[in-house]
Amino acid sequence: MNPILEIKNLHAGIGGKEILKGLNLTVNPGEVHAIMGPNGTGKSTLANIITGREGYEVTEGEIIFKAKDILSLDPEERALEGIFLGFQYPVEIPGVSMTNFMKAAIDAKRKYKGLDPIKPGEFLKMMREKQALVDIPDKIKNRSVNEGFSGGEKKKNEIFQMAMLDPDLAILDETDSGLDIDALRSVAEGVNKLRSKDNAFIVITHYQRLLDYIVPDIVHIMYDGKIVKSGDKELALELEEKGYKLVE
Amino acid sequence: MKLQDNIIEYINENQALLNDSFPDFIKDIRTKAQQDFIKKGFPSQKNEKWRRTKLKNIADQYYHPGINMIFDKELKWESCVVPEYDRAVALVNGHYVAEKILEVLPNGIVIGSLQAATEKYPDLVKRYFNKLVAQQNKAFDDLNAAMFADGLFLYVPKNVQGFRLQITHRLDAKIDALINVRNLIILEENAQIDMVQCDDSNQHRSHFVTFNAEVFLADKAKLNWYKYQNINNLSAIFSNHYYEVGSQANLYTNFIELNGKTLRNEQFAQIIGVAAKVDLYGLYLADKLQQVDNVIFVSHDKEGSYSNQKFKGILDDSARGFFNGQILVKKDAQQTNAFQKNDNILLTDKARISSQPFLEIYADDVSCSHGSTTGQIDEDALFYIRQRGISKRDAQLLQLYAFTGEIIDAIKIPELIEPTKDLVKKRLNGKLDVCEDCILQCQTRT
Repeated sequence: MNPILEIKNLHAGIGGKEILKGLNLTVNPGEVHAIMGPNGTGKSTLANIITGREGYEVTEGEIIFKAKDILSLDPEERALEGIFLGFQYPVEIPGVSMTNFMKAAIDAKRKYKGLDPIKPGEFLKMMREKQALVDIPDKIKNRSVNEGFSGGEKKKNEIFQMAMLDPDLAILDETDSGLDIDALRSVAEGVNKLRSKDNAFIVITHYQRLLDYIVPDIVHIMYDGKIVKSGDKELALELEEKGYKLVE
Repeated sequence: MKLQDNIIEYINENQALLNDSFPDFIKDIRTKAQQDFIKKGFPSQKNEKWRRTKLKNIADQYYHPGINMIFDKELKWESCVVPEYDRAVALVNGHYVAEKILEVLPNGIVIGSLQAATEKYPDLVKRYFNKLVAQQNKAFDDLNAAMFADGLFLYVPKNVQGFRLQITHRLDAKIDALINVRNLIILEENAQIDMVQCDDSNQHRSHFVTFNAEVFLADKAKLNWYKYQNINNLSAIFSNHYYEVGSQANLYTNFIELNGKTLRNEQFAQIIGVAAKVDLYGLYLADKLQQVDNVIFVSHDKEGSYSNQKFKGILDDSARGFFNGQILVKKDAQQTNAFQKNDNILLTDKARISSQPFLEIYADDVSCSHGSTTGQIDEDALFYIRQRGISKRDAQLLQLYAFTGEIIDAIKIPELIEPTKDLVKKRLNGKLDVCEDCILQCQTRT
């Protein structure tokens, strides 16, 4: 079985400052990985670099996604290949309705696969199905992307988009931050319903709490730009108990 | 100042041709304007309202000054597709073109050539003509009055409502030409009309156009004026609009400025009554070396009126824009609500906008605001959209199109909304004819 994602000796930074200092990570189909670690340790940088955000420099190492080196690909090409990022801070896009946004994203994906644009009826049916999955209100369809959404709605909306786009690899960057327990539960339920033997998740979080709901196969502790310790879900509990002095 | 000298020479040599077709009261205004133009010429770059506008590339060029004065009977025009209009007329190279030169419709509306109206209804025209222009006398008013041959005359009697007029204003000279158009629009008490105007060009020739309109809204009159400007990259239109707004009258304009070498729209609204409402919307999209200016002045003379100015622009390449918006609230204009907002997106380092919002308030019980923003495409949003698999170009288009939504959504004629969206999408796309691959999925394809 080939891994979905393989990161080898990744060194990267921004503005000449090295943030990732030789990171290695292998994610296989069907796996959920949790990455934990203190602030400023490079968790979000890792998410940005995997998804191809501009402004970062990769100085060494490689990122192989589905047996393809993706470092030279644009963000949209990586997305079309099947990488999804659930944003820590979902961006408001005034004037662009959720419906139009999703239609454009779905059609971009279909075009990439050589398919015609989705039929309106089929698209609406799909919207309804996926909305039910994450329990978000129907009215968001006509609203501008994330505009005026509560913190919980924004995060649920990320999961909704993930459900629509059905990625091979989803990276959820602190999806739990700022959520009350009910929202946290419905976000986690959404993720659990989307788990399959063919896809994989990387869940970035500060707190063990989320991992009660999204049970990881492997937990990594990231510190100073590297993964310093990996283990099963018990590692998260241990970390919660002992704090980061566990790895210092 | 090649053009100025050419015009002066033409005025001096063609007095009979310029003046003899008009009755004395027009002739007086005209000869004075001719003298004033000879004296003052084009506005100086030192003038604050003209400092940001590249006049030189017009003033140094040759435009035939006399085309305007010769009516080519062969001129034809086709209307663009604006659904649900009651009457379509055209102004071609400054001349009124329709089946009848001047007609009275069954509902009493008088519509036709201004030149013909000066002969047929001299008293009516005399009561209004040049009244507002004379009070302000802005740049190029003299040139317009000195040289115009014709334009639109529209008179809407008391209580006549629901009339929709389409005006095709076409530049169609076969040589580079100066064209001056003069319009007079009178709405009597409680009259209401919609006007949809398209400025377009037919020939790949340079046109320099002055377009002047005086508009009178009596008490409770309502005018909705939509304008689409889409002329070739060689041509310039300077439009001066003057509005007199009576008590409880409503003035609404929405100008979509799509293409042209230089487009300048000046709008001067004087609210002389109480409890009137004035809404002025504008969207300007410029690229290459284009220049687009909006100069707005709303004067509140009496109490209890509302005005709102909302102008948005996107400037690409080396395009330049100028927005100058003023609100004047006079001493007697208590309980005025007046607002103004100008928002811009600059797509390159070379694109430039000069945005100048002004408020001048002499009453103490008013609610007024003004604001101006200029920014670039939001990089965070761009990445967010691209992360969903949408190309960079389409992600930009989505954002730019969304930015224009506020102006398009303000359109009150439902049938106009989709065609406007199409025009804006095509313009943002940079090509009016290739849109197969565009994410925005226009309804019409040419």
